[in-house]
Amino acid sequence: MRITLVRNDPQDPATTRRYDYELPDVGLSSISSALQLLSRTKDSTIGYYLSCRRGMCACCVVRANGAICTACVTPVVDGMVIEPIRQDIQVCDTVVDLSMAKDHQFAFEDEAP
Amino acid sequence: MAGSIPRVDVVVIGSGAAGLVAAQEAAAHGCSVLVLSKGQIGRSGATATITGDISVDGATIHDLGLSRKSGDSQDRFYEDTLKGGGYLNDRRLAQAMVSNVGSEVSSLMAAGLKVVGIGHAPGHRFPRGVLVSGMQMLQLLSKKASAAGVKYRDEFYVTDILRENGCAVGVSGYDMRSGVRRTIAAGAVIIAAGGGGMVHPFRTVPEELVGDGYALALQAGAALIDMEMIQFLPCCLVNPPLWRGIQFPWIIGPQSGTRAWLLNKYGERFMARYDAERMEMSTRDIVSRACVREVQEGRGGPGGGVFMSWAHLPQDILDFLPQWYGKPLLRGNWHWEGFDFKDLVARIKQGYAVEVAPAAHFMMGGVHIDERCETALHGLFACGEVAGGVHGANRLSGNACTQFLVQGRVAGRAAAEVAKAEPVVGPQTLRDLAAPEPKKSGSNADAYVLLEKAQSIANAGLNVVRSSDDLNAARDAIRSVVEEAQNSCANLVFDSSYNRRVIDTLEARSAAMTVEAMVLSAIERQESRGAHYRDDFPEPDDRYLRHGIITMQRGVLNYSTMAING
Ligand SMILES: Cc1cc2nc3c(=O)[nH]c(=O)nc-3n(C[C@H](O)[C@H](O)[C@H](O)COP(=O)(O)OP(=O)(O)OC[C@H]3O[C@@H](n4cnc5c(N)ncnc54)[C@H](O)[C@@H]3O)c2cc1C
Ligand code: FES
Repeated sequence: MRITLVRNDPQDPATTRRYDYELPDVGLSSISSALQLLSRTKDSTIGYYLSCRRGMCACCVVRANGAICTACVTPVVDGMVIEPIRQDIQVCDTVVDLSMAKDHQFAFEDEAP
Repeated sequence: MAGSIPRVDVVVIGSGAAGLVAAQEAAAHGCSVLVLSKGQIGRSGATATITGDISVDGATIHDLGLSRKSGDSQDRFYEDTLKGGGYLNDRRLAQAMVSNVGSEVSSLMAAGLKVVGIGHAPGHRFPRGVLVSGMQMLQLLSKKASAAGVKYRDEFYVTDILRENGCAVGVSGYDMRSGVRRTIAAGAVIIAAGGGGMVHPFRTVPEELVGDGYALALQAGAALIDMEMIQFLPCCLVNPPLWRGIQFPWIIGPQSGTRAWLLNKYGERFMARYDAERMEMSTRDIVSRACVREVQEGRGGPGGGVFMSWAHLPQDILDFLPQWYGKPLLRGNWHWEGFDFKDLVARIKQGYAVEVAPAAHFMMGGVHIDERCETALHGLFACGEVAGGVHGANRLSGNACTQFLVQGRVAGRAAAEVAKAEPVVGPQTLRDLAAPEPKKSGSNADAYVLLEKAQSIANAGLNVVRSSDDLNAARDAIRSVVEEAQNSCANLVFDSSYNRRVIDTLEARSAAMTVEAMVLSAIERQESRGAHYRDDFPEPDDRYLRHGIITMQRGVLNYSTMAING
């Protein structure tokens, strides 16, 4: 199976690029499992969010073939294109900021406010 | 380049319900509070997965205006909690839990918590399950905490608790978003990092719960209690990978009362051998044990489970289930949680069986705390699932919510008192305490393999049915994994944000340390009690009706026992 991941260029995080990856066939499996496998076997800096694995926390949300879905409960299919849902709340690759405390973040001294 | 070390009164590790309640309470007592969470706030931890119950005694449920009088009382709730826990519960913690949950639920309801019904779960003599959504609880609790002035840092992996002169004085960790290592000084630290079900390869729990809280506590010099006690949820899906560990068959089967059959590979209805009277409707631990025993004795299915079948029932009987199970929880189109099980139910109705197995679900053991939720290290507190003792050898349904609401409050208040009373530790002292900058060398390419090793050792030694041979083999095997993981951690390079190699390495260490503590505790408990079932000692033995305590000295675990607090 082949999937395409739209992610930041690790060398130049301001640019996004399309990366094609080959995946082994493991049976009906989620987009999250595919991202996890890629980060483990191909490039450990691929950013993905995974917690409940049952569609409850909604934080693994991605755009897959143009449609917004929770990655952990959506089957990955051959030829799928996976991207972040929105650039304005993107944290890293497919990870977006859905924190319930977005407006109450602690800032370290050396960070721009 | 990192600036000077910031200082807050209270640091809370974890943003599940326990952490948020604790944070809000400490802030309400005038403390500056920082919540550090490995996941995103309100969207991580087991709390997010709850569509279930908070246990409250019937009299209080009646006072809350949620049901008619039932003849229940706090005393009866307390008795059932102890009975369910095989009388291994810390009495003070159990008493506090049953007595104080009412006011917590009341204030959540005042904030807008929707109660969808009152459930009656096994082990409770009365209906005590206040049915709620975990995600809504997280919304309400984070809102309250924010309003009280709490600050947060999402996706911050706490790796160390800093100590000085026998006191907790701060934490350090990996800021996953920036990729930087950070240290924060604090007057008190609360561990609310949740359980560690991820130490098992087959589990219901969220991905990040690898046992960090136990590893943090051990390394800081705190003790763990009754670590062998881990609860399994029977009859979770084995395959396909998309559905692995999801308890849907159990929900539409015995849990809700449809008379599904459990079959082994010969098609035998094997429950007849384990509980001829109740069969599949037996208690969770007996069903789990029976399923595992069938597999161990070579009568399991290809995926390491057994089969659940509805083939003996009329094809349409399942269609009525959503009508009486509770609409908000199970919808008529077979959407359940985030999954679409329409096709699976169609197959079931055609007469196909599904393969199921028990999955690791909840840790009764955990960080040893006193009635103020304080650990052996002054200024270090623990609350919620990470804290052990209150459930004894087994937890009743709904009692985890009861635990985190009550303990969160207690820990937040006690931490605030300590933080306000203690002299401030200077940043200079802390800089010396912070772990040395990691060496820029070493490859950790196989970090997740180490985590998988720890999981497979837990699977072999710490399953539903245990034996001294399996446990001894697990003890021998886990040591090298702990050492390897510790070496990998010492050589970590914190060079980029979201580096899974860093995360996997840290997680492997936590999981391995947790498994080692669990194995050691399980070896020493030479009896069967609650969730801990030993093939070689199949009966309870009251000589072992004591807590097992694990501490760590110079990297080596020690086991001792302690009388039950009464
Ligand atoms: C599927 C499922 C259903 C359940 N249903 C029920 C039910 O109906 N009723 C009931 O009573 N119980 C239920 N439980 C159990 C209950 O959900 C948990 O025991 C409870 O939510 C634990 O809450 P907590 O706040 O202690 O921890 P959690 O909610 O697990 O939160 C832990 C937090 O700590 C963070 N964290 C972990 N490690 C670190 C670290 N190193 N650094 C920083 N942060 C860290 C995590 O990201 C998370 O934010 C269920 C459990 C599961 C898995
Ligand atoms: S990981 Fe929680 S919804 Fe996907």
